[in-house]
Amino acid sequence: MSSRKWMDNAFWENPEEKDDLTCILEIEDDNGKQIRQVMRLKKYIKDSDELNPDFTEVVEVLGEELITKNTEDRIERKKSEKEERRIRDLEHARSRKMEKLFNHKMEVFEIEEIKGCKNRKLKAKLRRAKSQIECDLYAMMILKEHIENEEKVSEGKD
Amino acid sequence: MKEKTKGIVVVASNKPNFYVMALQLIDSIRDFDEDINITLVCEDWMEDERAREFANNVIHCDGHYRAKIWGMTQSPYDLTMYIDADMHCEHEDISKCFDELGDHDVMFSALTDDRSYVYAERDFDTPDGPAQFHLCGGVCLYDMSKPIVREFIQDWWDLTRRQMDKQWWPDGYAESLRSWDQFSLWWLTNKEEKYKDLSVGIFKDDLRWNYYNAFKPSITFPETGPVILRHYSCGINKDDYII
Repeated sequence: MSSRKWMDNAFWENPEEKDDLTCILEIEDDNGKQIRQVMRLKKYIKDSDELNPDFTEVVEVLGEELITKNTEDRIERKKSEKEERRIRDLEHARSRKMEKLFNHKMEVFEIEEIKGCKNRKLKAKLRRAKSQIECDLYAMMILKEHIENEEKVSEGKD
Repeated sequence: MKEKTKGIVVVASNKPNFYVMALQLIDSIRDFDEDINITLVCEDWMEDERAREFANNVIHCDGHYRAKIWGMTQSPYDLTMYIDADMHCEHEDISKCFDELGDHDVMFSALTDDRSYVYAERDFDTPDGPAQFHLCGGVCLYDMSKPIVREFIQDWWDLTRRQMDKQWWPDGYAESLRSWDQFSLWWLTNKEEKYKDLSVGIFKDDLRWNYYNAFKPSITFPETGPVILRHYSCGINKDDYII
């Protein structure tokens, strides 16, 4: 025998007015085949003062209190999902940035003058740099030190 | 009783960029501990003047994709800390790594369900039912003064080489697992009678010792202190020449 049932997770689309809701209708046909249909129901039939019987039925069967609770839970869930997504995206971007920075540092450390740098303190600062710009600044300091050392050697020769 | 020797082993093979990364790993360890013993295992054509400047000891390997395990067998130290070349040291506790072993013979970091979002292949079918990899070979602390451990590391290398060179493969296991040295490790620790009493441990707060850069810090983080070794195995430049 065919039957129809409103699932208990309906929620208000406009929690203030409570005249618009989304719900799921579960229909079972004579062969026992189940179909679920998501429905958006307004309180009144379009362009009339006549009550929408489906809307009225859902509110009667599930009760206004349950629909309001579902609505509040859904708002909270969506908010926390959004926050999780924001953190996930942030962490993903941070991880990509660190990989990029790691590759960049490997390149910087292969520059001839930096390769041969004996200033452990500056090399450690470069290695621990948190951004590309910080890394490049320490690289420049090492290069500057290298040039100054070269100049000292050349002045000594003169 | 003679005190056990202690040292770190880093291996760079197959790709030249691993050599550059290995040098930077060693130098990053030296930032925190200038005196720690370090052996660099690399191919002879990779070596430049930095190798012997950064490491106390250099050993040459061949270009096998998994020469890392061969390198592990060559450790000149009793207590050996093997570290993947694409890692970076961030904390002074690296000096305390050898204390982590305790009474265990071998120690790894763990592959766990809650970290599975960064693993490529962890679950697999066996003729006896479903199984999972539990050990991650990114870092490995082992005691080479124990004959059973020497044999274990040597067998891990032999089996991995035979597995990858298509000389060995058990019936009923997916071909896709062949490329993982975790499979040979799983086989030895789960199927090999000889190693049933081998004490295999997991680093206490192992995320400090092998923190994948792809981990999400909001859900995967060390509990007792900052990261000591960060692993850049995802998204790094392994193939193109750095310079």
